[in-house]
Amino acid sequence: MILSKEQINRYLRHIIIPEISGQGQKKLLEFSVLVYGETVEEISPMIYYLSATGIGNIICHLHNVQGFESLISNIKDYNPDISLKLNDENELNNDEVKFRIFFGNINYITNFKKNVSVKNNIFIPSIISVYNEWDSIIAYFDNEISLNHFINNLSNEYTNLNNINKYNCGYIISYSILGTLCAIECFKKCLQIGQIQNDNLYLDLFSMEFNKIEQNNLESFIKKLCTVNYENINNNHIKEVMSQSKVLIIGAGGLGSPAAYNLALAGVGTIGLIDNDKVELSNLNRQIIHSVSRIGMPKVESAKIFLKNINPDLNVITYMDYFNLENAVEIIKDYDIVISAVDNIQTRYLLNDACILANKPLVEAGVLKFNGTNTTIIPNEGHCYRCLFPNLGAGSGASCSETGVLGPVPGIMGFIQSAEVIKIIAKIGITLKNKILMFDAIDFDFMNVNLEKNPNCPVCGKNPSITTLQTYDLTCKTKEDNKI
Amino acid sequence: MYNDIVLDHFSDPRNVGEIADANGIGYVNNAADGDKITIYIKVENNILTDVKFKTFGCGAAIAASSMVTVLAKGKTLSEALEIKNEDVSFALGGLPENKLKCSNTAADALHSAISDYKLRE
Ligand SMILES: [Zn+2]
Ligand SMILES: [Zn+2]
Repeated sequence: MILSKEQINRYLRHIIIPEISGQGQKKLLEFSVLVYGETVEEISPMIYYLSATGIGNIICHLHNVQGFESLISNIKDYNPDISLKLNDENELNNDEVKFRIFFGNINYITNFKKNVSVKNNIFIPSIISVYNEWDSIIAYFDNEISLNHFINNLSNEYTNLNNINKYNCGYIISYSILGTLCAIECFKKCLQIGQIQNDNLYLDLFSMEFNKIEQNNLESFIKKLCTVNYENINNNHIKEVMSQSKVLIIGAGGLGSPAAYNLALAGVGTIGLIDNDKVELSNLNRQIIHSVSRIGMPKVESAKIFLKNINPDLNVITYMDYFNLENAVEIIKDYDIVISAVDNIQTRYLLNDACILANKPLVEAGVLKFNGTNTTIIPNEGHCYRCLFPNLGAGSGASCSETGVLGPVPGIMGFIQSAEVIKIIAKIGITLKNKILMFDAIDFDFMNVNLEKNPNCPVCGKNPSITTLQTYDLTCKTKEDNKI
Repeated sequence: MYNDIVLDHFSDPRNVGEIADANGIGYVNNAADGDKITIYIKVENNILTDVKFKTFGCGAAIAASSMVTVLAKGKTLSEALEIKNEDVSFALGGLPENKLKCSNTAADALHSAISDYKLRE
């Protein structure tokens, strides 16, 4: 067999995608990437999603190695296929390395002005990911001149060298989403899928605006990144309100993992987690809060161990149960905000109605293969799920089949969900209210589609026909695990 | 849930792709399980000299598609028409009960490709 039985099981959701298959997964396992980063905290989401993807060799060059040993042992338990190690200077001309990722804040990235060396005159294709609070740039380079040009530009524009508070929410959101995008780029580079040379993006996660960077607007985006200013945001106040907030996450899987991870990092007070499943090996291509040693354990328990490890002060409330008609109202009422991290249409309708009726914001996401969507439903203010799709049509989207999903795709969507939650709780920025964000990993494209509240909506319209929760027919006969 | 033969064909499918000058193409589109199978055949002197497939679906559907191409390649048209869905699952050493009905339809796609070839003749 091309892969071991264990590996086929672990990467099932990748292998099932024809563009990857077993051949592609094998190539990923043989690939080597070199990561330059400042701290272990910042690179951790990226390392988790590189590992989830099955990138076999990850070499890190870190400014501060504190915490790296424990990251190694966590990754060993998450995916034993992965070799994760520190790079020492002598190994820098490691011929195996096929891809480099430069990852950090502007201050850190400008340090490479002098020392991005090219060994034996061979340039290793590189990504630069650079962030300034909620804003960031990710750009691909296939030659030394344009890479140096980028870094020089950055250092010319940037003057504010002291004032970096890496631990505010904006940074956490940026390095998580950006790191996960880097894992996708590594995947695409290895399998030569898509056109990585065009994958240059400016992300403004505060306003949820995403722009493609072209050669002719690169300098203006660098300027924007260097001068963007979030000084009027009171991060201490955000910390305070976050610590008093209670967030319910429905589903501790592919979306629930990153959402909970980031909220724990950002210092949310209470996370409620509901999921009836136990950890399986085939979850581990995307569900980063679980691990091999916790296979067979209820997902909510496994998640709790991971989250408490990140933030011992976090209060985690677990419900090992399905979210259903019987418990929906009772559970939701204790929380300020709800994250929908399921991928079955019935639960989605149930959640929509329950949140509209209980007047709780609902942060939604969905994924399939290389694509994802996000939207945020704020009762009385914006659209809801039924504004778009008034009724659960027979058999609509209820496929029983195993579906493929590239691990980092739900990672990005789940991290965006946590960003939405932070913005709603702290009353800052612009959310995805009245919008759907669509992400395509192959085209490396984020697209916003504007929506409007439908006055004839059966649940949130002027004369609603749905005023209590109702049963949602399960059209799926074999009803295998549809959770992503 | 899958046996070793199925895992092997699922993870390392044989004869994946399209045949540029195919003279028969067959489809099966299974709405219930979401499996879409396309089989391409190249027939020369009554013999299937090449068989390829493209399948979007579950592991069982991919393994069955792979196996049916292996079984059909080099066969005469009438021999290929003898290949039934049950033969495919048998060659795979069995499929899970819930996959037998909805995902084991690769032989149907092969037969549809042969019908297409006959129509073109
Ligand atoms: Zn509505
Ligand atoms: Zn199927």
